[in-house]
Amino acid sequence: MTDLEVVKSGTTWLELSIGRNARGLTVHAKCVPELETFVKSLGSGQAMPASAYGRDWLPIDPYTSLQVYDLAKPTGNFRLTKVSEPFMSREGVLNLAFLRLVGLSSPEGVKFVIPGPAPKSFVTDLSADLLKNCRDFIREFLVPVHINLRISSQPV
Amino acid sequence: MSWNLNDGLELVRAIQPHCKNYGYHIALGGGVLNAGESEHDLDLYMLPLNNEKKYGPSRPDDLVVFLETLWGKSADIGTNYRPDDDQPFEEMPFRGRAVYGWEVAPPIRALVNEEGVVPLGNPWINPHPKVFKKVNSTYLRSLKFFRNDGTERIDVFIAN
Repeated sequence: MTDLEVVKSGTTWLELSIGRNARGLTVHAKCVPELETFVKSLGSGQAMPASAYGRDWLPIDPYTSLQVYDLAKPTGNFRLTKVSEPFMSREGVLNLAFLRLVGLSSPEGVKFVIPGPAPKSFVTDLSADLLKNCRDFIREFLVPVHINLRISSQPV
Repeated sequence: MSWNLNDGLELVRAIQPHCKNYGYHIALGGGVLNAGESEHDLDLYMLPLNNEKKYGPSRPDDLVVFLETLWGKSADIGTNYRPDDDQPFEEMPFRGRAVYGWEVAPPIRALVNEEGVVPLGNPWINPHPKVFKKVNSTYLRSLKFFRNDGTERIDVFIAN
């Protein structure tokens, strides 16, 4: 199990545990409420079952259902559209759609599994890519930015 | 990737409540309904609820927009186009027998058979043009969606 933490300015924004077992790739994700609120604001705020989008994310507990927030706004170079699909596309584009999961900021976070073979080297590389991309995403959209503009003129 | 009845039912149940917002409900069809599985695709039929008092008028265009937020861009069935590729096929495999170019529409630039890739001349002159009968479809829209890196196909037929 690989544990990842994205820490910015003393705040742990996101905690990810990625493991590989006979079922496939298991993921446990938790984030701060600000991150979930931000992702929710990218759409209407309505939730949909992850199974409406695809078949590749299964809840660890079969009696629960994974829900994701809908998405209506673009997120630049970060791919949040591929819900219920593998972490890595065939073209090597990382899938950050798990950030849309409902309940990510709850105390227990969200656990799910992506069935299928996951080689050890893939898990190691994926962890590094996820850490970098999540950090970039948070830096790009969430870390507070404050800019003062002052426009002055001199009397002629 | 193949589809079975469980996959189809799970998908229908997941999106059915949302489709009602656009005045439609869903029926399963094709191989998944008839044979319990399909190697090719999942066929979904969108039927108007005809209950304006409760759900308002049917909004097929908004329904398509909603489905595209789930599965990505769609294309009309019958066009030689996969939305994931953002461009038409340049080559299409036909295995098992030789196929003459003019049997296939729209035009393609190369064919693949037992001999390998057979390039077709350009300009492409068709000595025996095939006449297609115009069919009056029951459906307002017939769309195909490709999801999961193009490995899963969903065909959606929206009735008027």
